[in-house]
Amino acid sequence: MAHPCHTLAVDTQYAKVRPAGRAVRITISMVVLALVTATTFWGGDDFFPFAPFKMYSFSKELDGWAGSTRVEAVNEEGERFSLTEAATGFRRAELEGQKSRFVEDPTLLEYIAQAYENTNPDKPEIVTVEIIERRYRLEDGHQTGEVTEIVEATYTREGADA
Amino acid sequence: MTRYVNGFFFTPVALGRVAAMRFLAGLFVWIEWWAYKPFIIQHRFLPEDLYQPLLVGRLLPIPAPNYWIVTGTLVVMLAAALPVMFGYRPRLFGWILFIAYFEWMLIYNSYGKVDHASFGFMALLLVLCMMPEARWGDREHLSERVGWGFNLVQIAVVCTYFLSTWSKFRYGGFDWANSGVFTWAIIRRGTVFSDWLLDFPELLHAAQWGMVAFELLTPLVLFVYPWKRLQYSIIAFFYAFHVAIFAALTISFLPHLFAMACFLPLERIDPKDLARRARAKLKGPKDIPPARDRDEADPELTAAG
Repeated sequence: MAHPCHTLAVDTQYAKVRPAGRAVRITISMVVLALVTATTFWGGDDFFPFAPFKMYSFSKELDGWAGSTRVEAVNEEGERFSLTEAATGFRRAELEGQKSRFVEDPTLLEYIAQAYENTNPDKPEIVTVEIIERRYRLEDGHQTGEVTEIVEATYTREGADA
Repeated sequence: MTRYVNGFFFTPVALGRVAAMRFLAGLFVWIEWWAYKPFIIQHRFLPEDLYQPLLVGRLLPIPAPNYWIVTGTLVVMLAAALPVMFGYRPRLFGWILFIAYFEWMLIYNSYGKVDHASFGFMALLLVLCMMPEARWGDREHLSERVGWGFNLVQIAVVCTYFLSTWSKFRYGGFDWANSGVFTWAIIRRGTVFSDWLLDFPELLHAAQWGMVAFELLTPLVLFVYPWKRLQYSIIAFFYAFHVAIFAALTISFLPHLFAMACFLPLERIDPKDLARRARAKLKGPKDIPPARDRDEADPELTAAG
């Protein structure tokens, strides 16, 4: 019948922490806590691994449009298809994160075509890449069924006639 | 009060838990790359121009990922995870694993989207490097240093909930809970378990308030540490919460779930003992060896009280 105090007595060198060690360790905990708290309020994702935990932190209007972004491509055989995460290794969220870059300079979409071709070297090459946003109309939180699609950026390879 | 604070940071933890957490950490690393986040390895095909280095990536001389950097990081990470899992030179390989995994996370997060589910898991990999060698089922050797290490992971796990509400207030405003964010989430990634909720926006509205309340209350799980049974029940509730979120949105926060396991008394699991008893059971019911000293005071439940 071992009392906890006895259990502590038969212990390894790691058992006890001396007062100085305690102070150091509590300080470390507090610094980690301070950093992660500070970046919650002032920092941005750039400070990873200390960064605001902002998954689903944005407010969405109950009245308005809920958007869903995707990338579509047309290959040299004229087939249109979705450039999914599996097809390019570039995630939808990453696309959305860099969307302003692509909208500003659609020629950057060339890199997404490259990513697709690196991933699928045997498939026909891509001639056109488009960022399309599908928007669902919400009223008071309900979907009204009204849907629109907007092409936000288009890139067509030079010399391509698609 | 001093005693409570001391116990908060330094409640001794049995070394058996270290062995169990090392196994789980390595197991997660082996699962993540192909089953959970398969796109990270796909990043080897992305042109450098899509790479958006984070602050750490700019401060440290870390090159932009390419085919060989991504593949090499994966190989080193998986190779280091095995000895860590089985307790062979766990500190040496623990450091290699931590460094490789950190680079893996940079490859993951440097393309325009940063995910936050692995904060606690990275803290876990780091503290495991500093913990002594340990064997499964060891409940004899208790360590305050180990207790502190796991406490740090637990703080990180709780921050992931608690601070995410403050992020919601920061980015979404205090009115976040009154917005249509769950509707939007279900439109984007709903499942058969959640699509029907779109017809009941009031329910989603209530769920958003529930979410805020839940996340703001999570630090309680740290403060109730003297009452282990209560703490374990709260952790069980957290796991249930994640099951529900996964059913609704297929978002699982898997690394977070692995890190959170360090709240649980995993030192009670002894695979060798279990195997011995299973074998004995097969031979015949008479040969079952007595269970390990059931009357022994459980140090987990009494250490702080």
